This record gives sequence, C-alpha cells and structure tokens, in this order.
Amino acid sequence: MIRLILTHVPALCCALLWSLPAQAIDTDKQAQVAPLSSPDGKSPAASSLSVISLAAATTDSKATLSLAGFTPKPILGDYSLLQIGGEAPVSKDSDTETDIGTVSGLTAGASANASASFYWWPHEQLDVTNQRDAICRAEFPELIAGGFEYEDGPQSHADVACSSDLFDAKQLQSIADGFNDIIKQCSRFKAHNKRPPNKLTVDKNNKPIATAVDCDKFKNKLSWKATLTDKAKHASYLQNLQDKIDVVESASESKLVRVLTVGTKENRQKVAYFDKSDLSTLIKDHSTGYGVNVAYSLVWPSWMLSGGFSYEKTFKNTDSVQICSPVPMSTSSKCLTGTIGQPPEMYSRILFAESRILISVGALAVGPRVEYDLTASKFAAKVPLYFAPDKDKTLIGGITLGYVTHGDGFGVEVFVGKAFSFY
Amino acid sequence: MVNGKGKAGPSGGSSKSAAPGLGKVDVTFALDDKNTTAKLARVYLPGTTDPENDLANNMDKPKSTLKGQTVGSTFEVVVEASGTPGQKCAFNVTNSEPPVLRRTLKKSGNSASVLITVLGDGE
Repeated sequence: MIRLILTHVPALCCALLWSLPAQAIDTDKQAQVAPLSSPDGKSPAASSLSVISLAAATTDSKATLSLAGFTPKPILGDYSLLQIGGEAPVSKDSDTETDIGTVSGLTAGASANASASFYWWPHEQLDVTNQRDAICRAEFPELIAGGFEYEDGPQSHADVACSSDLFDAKQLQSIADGFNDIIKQCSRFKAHNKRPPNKLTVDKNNKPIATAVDCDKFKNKLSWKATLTDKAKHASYLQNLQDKIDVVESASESKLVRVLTVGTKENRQKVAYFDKSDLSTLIKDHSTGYGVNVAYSLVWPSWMLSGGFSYEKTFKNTDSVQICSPVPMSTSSKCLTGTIGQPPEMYSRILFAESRILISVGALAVGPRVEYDLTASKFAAKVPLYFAPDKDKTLIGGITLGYVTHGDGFGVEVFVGKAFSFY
Repeated sequence: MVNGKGKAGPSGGSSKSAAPGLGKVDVTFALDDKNTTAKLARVYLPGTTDPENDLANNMDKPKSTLKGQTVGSTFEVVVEASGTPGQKCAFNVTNSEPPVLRRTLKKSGNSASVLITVLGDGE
C-alpha cells in the first residue's frame, strides 16, 4: 500500500498544479469539507464541494476530479448545484480492476459523470424569528443592568446576535463592557465639544471608536453604567434561556436541508476476448457502459443521510481463460489471456444508502455506504474514515474498508485529496 | 418588519430612531471569505421566503447592496448556516454596525437574528 502511495504522489502533485490555477481558485475562499460533501468525490449522493483525489486500493488506483458549482438562479428548489467529474486509473495495470466495496459495474477503467443537485432550504419562518427575538428582548434587561435594552446591542460594538450564544456570561460581560466604553467615549467627545466620526474606526488597540450614531443614541444615557445582574451570573438560569431558544428553533425545520440529486455516468473499460469461432486470436477492444442515478439526502449541521437508486448498463465480467498456441519455427508457445466471446451486456438495478457523520470537529468523519444489486443479488458495503479538514488543513485523507459478496470480498483503499471551492 | 416575498428593504417598517440630518447611505452585505465559512451560509431579512432575496449567500450571491438606507436607523437580519459544528459563518456589513459578525455553528441552533445600525459615510 505504501509503495502505491509513493508511486502516485507525483501524479497527484501534477494534477493539483494543473487543476488549481486553471480554475482560478482563491485559496482564501476555500470552503471546508462539510459532512455534506463526498470526501473522495466518488459518491452519487449530494456533494457540494469540488474535490480532486487519488485513491490507491488493493484492487486499483485511481485519480478523481469533481467540479461543483451553484447556479446563479435555481433550476429547481431553493438552490441548484451542477457537478461534472471523472475518474481514471493512474497505472496501466489497474485498468480493468473495479473499486472496492461497490457492486457497480461502472468503476473499472475511466469514467465521466455529471449530476444536478437541488437544495430545499427554506428561510426561517417569521414567527420563529419573532419568538426568538421576544426571548432576547425580554431577557436582555434582566441580564445587563443599567437600563439597557436589546435594541441598544449594536452600540456595544460586541457581537450581539439573538441566539443561544447570547446567553453566555462571558458574552454578556463583553457587551456590558462595550456599552461602558462607548458611553465613556461619548462623554469625552461631549466634554471636549468634539463631533464623533460618522464612520466606524478603531484606535491603536483595535478598540472601536464611538460614532456619531452611537453618541446620538446614547445622548440621554451618558450617566448610565452597564453591569451584569445576579441572573447573568447563574449558569443554570443562562442554560434555561439557551434551552428556550433551542426549543423555538427546533420547531422550525429550516435547519434541515433536503437535497435531490440526479446524475449520469459513462464508463469505458478495456476488454480482451477470443472470438468463439477462432480461439487463436485475442481481440482487444473497449466496452462502454452507462448509468443513471437518483439520490435523496437529508442534511443536518453535523451529519447527512442519503438513499438512492442506480440503473446501469454494464458488461458481465466472465472468467478469463489462458489459451496457448505454439510459436512457429520454435518449441515455445505463446499464451494469451481473455474471455471466450464478447462480454455479454447486463443491466443492474442498485439500491444504496449512505451517511456522512462528523465524529470530531475539524478532524475526523466517517461515511458508511451500503449497496444492493437487485439483479445479481450482490451486497456491498464500505466505510471511509477520513480527515475532515479545518481552514489550515485543507488536504483530505482517509482510509476505506470495503466488502462485496460473491467474489470480490474485502478490500482496503487509501485516499488523499484536496477540496476546493469557486466561492 | 419586512414580511413575505419581495425586494422590500429594511427601511420598509423596521427602521427605528433615525438620527436627523445624517442622510442616506448604501449598505453592502458580503460573506466574509477570510474566515472558515461553512459551505452553506446566508443572510436575509426576517420574513422573506424567497432565497433569491438573500442579502448574501455562498451559493450564488456573495454580496449585495441595499441602497439609500437612513443613517441612524436600525434593522434586523437573520444569519443562518448549515455546515460543520465549530466552523464560523461570518459576514461583513459596510456603513453599518457591526462591521463583522462571526457566528460559530453549534450542534443545534445554526441561525441568529442580528440588529444592525446604519452608520454614516465618511468622517
């Protein structure tokens, strides 16, 4: 396995160098690998990131490129995403080998695929926003004493967002400190008969300087002082408020993103067979298979659940035989390997289910996937365990364990790649 | 409060206590690309239902401008994200406070409403 990785590192580097500048990727805009996205770019279920990856397995080694981007206007749903991609073997020897842990007949050789994903993610309902705001408006004066209201929040220059994060003693203290600082500055401007700046600026310590709007809003509050109340110092009281916000938000389904994905795949793989009427000649050709798939995914903030169906036209993988014939004018014989007759066409109906779960923030994720071929009664499962990177670790890497019934058995794959975004 | 579908800006009913004589300015919203922005993030006015009316999102609208907002007025936006917990969703607002709001995603609760006060332009 290690040998395979080392062998193909130059190929990965070249692919990255080719791909990234060509797509004008701004490294500052790289999005992260959310559980929403496929780590190796191979899954037909919803993925929102562009990924380039290299996988070295016990069966084959492949390079995969997947480019994804949201459309300026939704085609269907609230947002629409288009994806195109392809995969190809990176070594000649693995050209006819299939991926591990899959019953699909479209994984050997080279493939091109395209898909469209439609996202349903409705805006938060107004009554949810209003109920949450009502909690913040009612509780703010109960937590910060001195006559301040939630509407004064922007004047603190702290992050005053009405959410469960607001009900944190540290956060409340920073808001109170912000109020006091701005009042102090406005009093000083008034004492020196100076006009505060219109625009928001910061001093040499990066502290915000009170603006004309701040001082206008606080002109009758210059004697006020913000302090935390006893309630703000009680963890159980704050926890209760956080729970209240969670209850309001859980009534809204807006945090659940639903994704419908439809895709197609074309696959080309090498075949070598003997003509049934002339077993002395090995015919080398290519077969072209096609597939269509549909998947429906539910995406929560930390995990995704997906199910779908694939319909594939492939070619039956019959056992190869070795046929030897004498070399003329010698005592040696020449042996050729191939199947007897052209591989027959077959049609597969595959059901699949997949989940991607974040185990540890910015560190580890798992994406178990099961497949069942209704035509051949074959079952496959694979479990990729991968590093979900944070901002400073945008390389993806992982290991996949796979199993297929009826023949292929267990397999292991190591993959490394990079996620990138056009946004 | 802005309600329903449409392009109504925050001046359509949510503005409060505008400071007299400070005029109107354009307010620009932009997702902050210098931060670990979660893949799905957006900012919109409360009560809007059409994603086309997002003030900013990282699907198809990295930024937009609300023109002619009254200096000193306050309005509200909802910031929402669906991504990896622990990541930050951030957006910039120019000519307004807060200049940047960073919203860290938690396991539950990935939206927040934020009050923004329109500031003047220049010194």
